[in-house]
Amino acid sequence: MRFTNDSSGADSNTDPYAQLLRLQSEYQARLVGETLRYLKHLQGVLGPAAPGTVLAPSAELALEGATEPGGRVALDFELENLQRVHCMVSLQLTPLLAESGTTWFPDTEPAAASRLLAPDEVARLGLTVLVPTNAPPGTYRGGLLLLGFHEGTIPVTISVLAPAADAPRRKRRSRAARASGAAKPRRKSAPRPRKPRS
Amino acid sequence: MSAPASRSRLVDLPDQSGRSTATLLASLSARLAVLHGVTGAAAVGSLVSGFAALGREVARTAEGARLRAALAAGRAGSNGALLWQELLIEEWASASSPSPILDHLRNDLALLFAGDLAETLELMPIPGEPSGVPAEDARATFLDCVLGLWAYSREMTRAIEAMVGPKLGDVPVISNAAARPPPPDGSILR
Repeated sequence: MRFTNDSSGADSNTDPYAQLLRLQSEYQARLVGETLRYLKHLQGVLGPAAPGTVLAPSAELALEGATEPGGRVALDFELENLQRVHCMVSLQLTPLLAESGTTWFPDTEPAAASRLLAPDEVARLGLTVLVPTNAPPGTYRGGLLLLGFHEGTIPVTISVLAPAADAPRRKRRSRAARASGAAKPRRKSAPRPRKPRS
Repeated sequence: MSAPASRSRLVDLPDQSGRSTATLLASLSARLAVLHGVTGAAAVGSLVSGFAALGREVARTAEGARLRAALAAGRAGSNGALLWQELLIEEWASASSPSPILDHLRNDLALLFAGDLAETLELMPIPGEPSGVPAEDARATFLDCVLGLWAYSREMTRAIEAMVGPKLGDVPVISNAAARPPPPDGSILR
């Protein structure tokens, strides 16, 4: 077999020297990558432990609310700190998804509620979700999580109801029209069939 | 009286020794000890990777996702990503094990509130535990790091406010000059 470093006229796919170089550099790159990955894992395993917290949500707990666009939904729940030291909690909502595929990134008040809980303290935590005025009606599902905790999400369901503002306005109009003696407005799309005169 | 069934609870991680003053103190002293055995690049890389890991978690929330999208849409987002790629910051941070920075902050805060800190300090040195959890393989990106820094600084602000607590109300808004003790008498102050 002939090895050459002259690339003129030689196809890199068939030239054995070029292939050898390519294989060797791929091997070295892979070796460096895997070594770094191994060292990263080792660093994680051998690094000092940081005792953490887990949220154990009640199986019965599901936060629900319903309102019209522009309204507010208050979500609150009871939380007990069973740890032996103080614990800081920060509430955060995940994006909410409707069955229609609409994704809602809700604004809340306060933007992110937080609280320091003493050992064995029970506190009522909550936040208010502001429903935008242009939110399409539907049932939105997501979760309430405590930031930085290793597990645990509380399911959240918010129903945005169809606005009922048009109904009273229509009633008022028809009452005024009746008083002035005008005819009832009818929909163009669905003309009522005439009754035959007797 | 039993607790209501709808009550959620904060508990310790199942495979660890749990959060107590002794374990938190051991964790803090182990962190300080490790600092003497690693390079500055490894320590800072681990912190940067930790901020990125926090940012990835924050990006799962509604507020974080919006913030991330807004950052990505602006010039700062694209310039930052370019800097991270060209200066190999992303490679460096991704190769480091993420430090659990939020746990560290909360654990150190809990130590400040511990009622048995002085007694536990007398038991030092308390051996720390290794974490035993391999680092995740996710990449540390500029956007995640910025998001993590934002969440961390907000948590830090709240932690300091929690430390102050209602005592801030005890500090007078207007300090009466007559109530202050007289200045020390001496020629140097004249």
